[in-house]
Amino acid sequence: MFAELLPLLAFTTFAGLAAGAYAIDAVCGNARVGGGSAAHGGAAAGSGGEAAGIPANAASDALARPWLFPLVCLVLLGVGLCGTLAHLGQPLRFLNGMSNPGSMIAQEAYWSIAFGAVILVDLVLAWRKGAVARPVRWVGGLVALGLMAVTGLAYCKSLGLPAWNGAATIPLFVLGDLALGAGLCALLDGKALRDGHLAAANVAAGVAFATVLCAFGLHLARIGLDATGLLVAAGIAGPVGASVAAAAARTGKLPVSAGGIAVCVLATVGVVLARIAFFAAGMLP
Amino acid sequence: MTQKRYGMVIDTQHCVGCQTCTVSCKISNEVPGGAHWNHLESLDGEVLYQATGTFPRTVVAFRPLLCNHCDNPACASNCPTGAMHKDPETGIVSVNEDVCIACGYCGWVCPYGAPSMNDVDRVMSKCTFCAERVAQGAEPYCVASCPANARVFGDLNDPESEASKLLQEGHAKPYLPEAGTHPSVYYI
Amino acid sequence: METTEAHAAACEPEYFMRDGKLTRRTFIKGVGAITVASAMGFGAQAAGAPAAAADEVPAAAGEKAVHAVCTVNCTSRCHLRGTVRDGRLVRVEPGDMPGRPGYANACLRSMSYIQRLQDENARVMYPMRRTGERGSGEFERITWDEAIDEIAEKLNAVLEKDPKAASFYSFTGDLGKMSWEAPTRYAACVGATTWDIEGIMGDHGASMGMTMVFGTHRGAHDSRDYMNSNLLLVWGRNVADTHTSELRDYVAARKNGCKIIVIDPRQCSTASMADEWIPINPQTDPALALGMMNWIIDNDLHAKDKLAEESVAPYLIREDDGTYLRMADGAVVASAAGGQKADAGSIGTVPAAQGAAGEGAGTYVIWDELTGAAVSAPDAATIKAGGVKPALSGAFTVDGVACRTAFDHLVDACKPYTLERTGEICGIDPAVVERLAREYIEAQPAGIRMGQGMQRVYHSYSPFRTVATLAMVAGYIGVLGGGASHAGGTATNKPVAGYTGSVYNYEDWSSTGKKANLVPSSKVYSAAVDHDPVPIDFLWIANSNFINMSPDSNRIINEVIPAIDFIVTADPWWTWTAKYSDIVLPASTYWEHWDLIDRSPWAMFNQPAIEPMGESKSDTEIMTLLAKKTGVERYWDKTDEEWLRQFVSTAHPAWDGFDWDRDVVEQGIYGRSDGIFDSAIVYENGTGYSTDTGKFEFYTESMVEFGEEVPTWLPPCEDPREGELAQKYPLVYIQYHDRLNVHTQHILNPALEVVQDEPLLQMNPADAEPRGIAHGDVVRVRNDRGDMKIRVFLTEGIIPGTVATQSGWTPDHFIEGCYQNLTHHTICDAEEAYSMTNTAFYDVLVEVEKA
Repeated sequence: MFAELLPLLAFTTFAGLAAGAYAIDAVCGNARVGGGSAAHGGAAAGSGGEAAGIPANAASDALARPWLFPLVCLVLLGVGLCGTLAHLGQPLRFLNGMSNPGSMIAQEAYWSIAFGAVILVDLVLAWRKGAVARPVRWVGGLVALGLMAVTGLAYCKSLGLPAWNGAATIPLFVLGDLALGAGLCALLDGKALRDGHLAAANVAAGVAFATVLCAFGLHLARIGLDATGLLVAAGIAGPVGASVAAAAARTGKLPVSAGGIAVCVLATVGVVLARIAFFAAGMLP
Repeated sequence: MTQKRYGMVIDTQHCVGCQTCTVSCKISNEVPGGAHWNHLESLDGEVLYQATGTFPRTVVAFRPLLCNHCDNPACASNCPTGAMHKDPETGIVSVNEDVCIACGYCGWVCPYGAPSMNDVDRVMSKCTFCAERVAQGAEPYCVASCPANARVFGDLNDPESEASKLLQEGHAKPYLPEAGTHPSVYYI
Repeated sequence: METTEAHAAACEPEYFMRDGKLTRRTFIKGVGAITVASAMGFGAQAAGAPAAAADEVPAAAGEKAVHAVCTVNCTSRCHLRGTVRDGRLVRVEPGDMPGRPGYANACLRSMSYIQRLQDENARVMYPMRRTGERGSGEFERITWDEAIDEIAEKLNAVLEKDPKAASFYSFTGDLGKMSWEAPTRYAACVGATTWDIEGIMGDHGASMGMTMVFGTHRGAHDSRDYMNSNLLLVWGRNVADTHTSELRDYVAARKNGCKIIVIDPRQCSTASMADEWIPINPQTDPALALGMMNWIIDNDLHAKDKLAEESVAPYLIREDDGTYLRMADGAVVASAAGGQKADAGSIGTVPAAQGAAGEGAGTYVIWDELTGAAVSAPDAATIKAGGVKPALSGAFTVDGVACRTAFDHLVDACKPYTLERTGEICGIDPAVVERLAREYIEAQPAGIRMGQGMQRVYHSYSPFRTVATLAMVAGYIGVLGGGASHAGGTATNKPVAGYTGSVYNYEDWSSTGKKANLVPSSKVYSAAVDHDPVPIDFLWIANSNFINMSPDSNRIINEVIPAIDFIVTADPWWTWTAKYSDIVLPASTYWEHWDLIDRSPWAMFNQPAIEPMGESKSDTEIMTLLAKKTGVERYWDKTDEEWLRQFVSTAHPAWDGFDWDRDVVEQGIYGRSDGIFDSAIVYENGTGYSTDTGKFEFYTESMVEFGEEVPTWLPPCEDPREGELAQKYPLVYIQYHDRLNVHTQHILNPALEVVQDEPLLQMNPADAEPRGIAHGDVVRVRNDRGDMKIRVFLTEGIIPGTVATQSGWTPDHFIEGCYQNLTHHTICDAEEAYSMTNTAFYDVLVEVEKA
């Protein structure tokens, strides 16, 4: 049975990491720009000091390798989409799945394609110019939000699965993706944890996600299901664990590289646990 | 509005839970693998065949479920491929197996859990109201085989059909109308 | 088949088994018992059924429509329409029932049966010889020639020594005439022993109870008659699942305003469509009927006229010896041999007064209130005409002999059953007992459908006898919408004026040269172990999963089977029994061979719709092969089809318009021209009783020696109320039949797995809680005889103090053990004296503990 939820878990986690990262970066990444806006760069320098650009000293990988972020996200999205193919009984007919715009599954495909296209543009520009084109990231963040929303909406519309057909489903995916993305941003740019708003973003995403975990748990209880164990574990790993790690990195109690890894892993574990609970509650009973 | 609106009225007061409908549909329609186009649930409890209430004031009652061939079928509106569709002539909702990508989404969005994955051919399958039999003037298998005569099939657009007359008596209610799919199956 | 007698045949082998000859009865004789309820508005079928089947959908291209009659022993006999494609049966649907539209039926078991019967892993495919220990399941494939030679060698040796030491045990796995009878017909040919089946299988209590009061084993109102009822008591049987074809009629009756009350320890499927379920402690049904009678009589609501006219109520009973007072030529005579059986040599399913309707009726005595004198008991019509007024109660002295009426004996027997005591015994609130009695007597009319569930008890004649007596006390016997019917079904034909010939030509089939030695099946264990009354040196088992469906399987395996030198089983399935056999022969199923069901207004036919699986053969073909090697081939000179063609080749008007190709080959069913297709009832106007008195006979002279002359309730053999056993094993364990199977032949047909895929123990949470048992737990159910490990299904829909499983699961499906390890085979002296012990499958105590 678990095998049945694996493709969905893969899609929502990998695509969610990418989408969340773009959304978070669209907000938090503005202060840490390699060649974009000097004004922003200056503001960032005020808080951090290294942002003025010493590309080679590994002060910021993100600035040194602006193509890394879109590349990683593109790979993640691709892996996620392969997950969706594994979910289909007839993967070779996947093109059929875009025939009905009214279907959230088709919408997921449209938004994924759009998101992939934006990432590709971002990647090409970053590769060519050696710097991040912020407007592209903003567009990417918006498209990513759309993808998160339709993903949540797709599950939310499952009238036959009471566990999913509740108000908590959409925020569960949107906020879960944001938590994932914040973690991924931390991984790709650990220093941002210390210098930028990323630590705060991680904590904020964690708190929001914790709230929605509670809401989802209550929803399950109301329809007579129980996934408290998994949800509590998700809350401890993600919101608590990742926030603590982010705070530790922010305050220098943890090296930023290790902090980035810890934040990303913990946030991902938290979201994955929550989604296992979500999929199992809908599909297994 | 479809020309005909085939529907069914199911009498849960006289359903004895034998599942002849389930089995007759499975065998006669040669429904492959683990798929079932009919299934049975407890009417008022969690566990099928478990009495509700406290001895000796207990109830054992059943709700047979099948595709409700809704006027506003969630399966069709949410099918990404358009494989799931409603026939404008009969109102029968069916799946075009040559187009279906087997995403399973129709099964999730259907309030009645009616679409059932054909795990042999790896496409979605579902109750067809025995369209071919009905076209020949016969009743669906589940109706013909019900030993309690608990299922009445007919054109709900035809006020003279037995099913319509039962509806006119006013005791029949749709199941989960709040889902907004406007089902064509009613329960007494 | 002949009128009510036809019901008698529903569970017994054909009559030649009794004496090697067909017992022929003209159907004129019994027809008085049948009344067509045409007054009810069912259109009369003047001259038989329409010949053509109309409702079935034509077969699609590449498919072929085929027909069969389902011959497993539920009690419906459904005409099935199958579809064959590429040589395989792909579906089963209800087949048309000419003359009775709306009665077409096919249940989930018959539909899914085709999956199992076409599964070569489930079937016995070839003749097999045992190579390992008995029960090991180790067999080798042999040829038919090898098998028959080996069997014949063993059999001939036994026959030479003592033909009765060879036994042919054919039960109810296939009730097609030929399949069912071929093994026992063969036994008759060689003078071997056969077994009167009802006792050990647990259906005989009903037959005894029915025979005591009505004089015949069966007898039922057509289920359509409940359209006339205001109340129907479904008493002790889950008719919805076990006589599925009639469920439509119960539903129609309820929609017509008939209140339906189900009396059952379990809230069975039938209860789910009823107005009320009255849970009752198992084994206490007679007490409830006595309590209801007591309340009715106490309130002076009993049907005094009907009792006086149509029953033995006014008959005088001698105070000295409890026999009926008899007079000849105006003087009291010593009691005639009324308690003796007409044919002491024939035991079993034809007990006591069989066929002796009203014989010596003129010697019985009533007290006439008009003349103030004892007079010869008149028939019902005479009393109704007003010439005589029998005293229902009173003590009289006739010719110096002190007497009281039979009714007074009944009243005495009912007296102890106050509402409180009845309620206490039955586990029913006394107020409910009272309400039930009131509703029953006030319904006018109320019908009762009695089922075998209440008679798998010790003193098993009591439930049917007592409940039927309740119906008579209430005045509902022989009344439209009333009756106390054996839920075994109805089969009626109408007499054809001036014609006395047989409907079927069974001349050759019943000509066997010798007679079979018919022994009560209650004696099969003692026969094997103690050679009492016959030894069993050779045992042929057909149509039976003997071990699985008989009580105390450990005793069978440890004592009975080892005592038998050579066992042959002919069966379609690899049963528990087959695994303990020395040779297993592959038998075909009803979709694979020619056969006939003749016990209805229809003749229904089987024919090979598909090629027999593997090397399987019909029982008739198998016995024909054996006959060739045992010197009786002259009795087995026809093919199955030739037999069948001969059966239906008579000049009887029943066959007017019969066409072999159309009615047998194409349609598989023929509505007899003499068939009654309308609703029919029994015993209208007090006629048709086959008792010695010719009346409804609730006073049974032959039971005086057991103190059982009038209906009583006796505590069960294993009594949960008191005693050491009850302390050790406080729970009553019963089995039931429901949607899943008839007997072992349907267990886990693949399509039924969605319904239930393992045996479950039903238990009330009130019993589970103190034992720390939760829903779904695995438990051990045990008593001194054995145990089983099984999952628990908690439900409030079973009376506390009782646990239950479906009958028919095999050891393969239990986590450990099997339910028949728990049951027992205890001889009941009163039953043996009357005819034979009926297995008390539901008179079992157990304890349940978490495994």
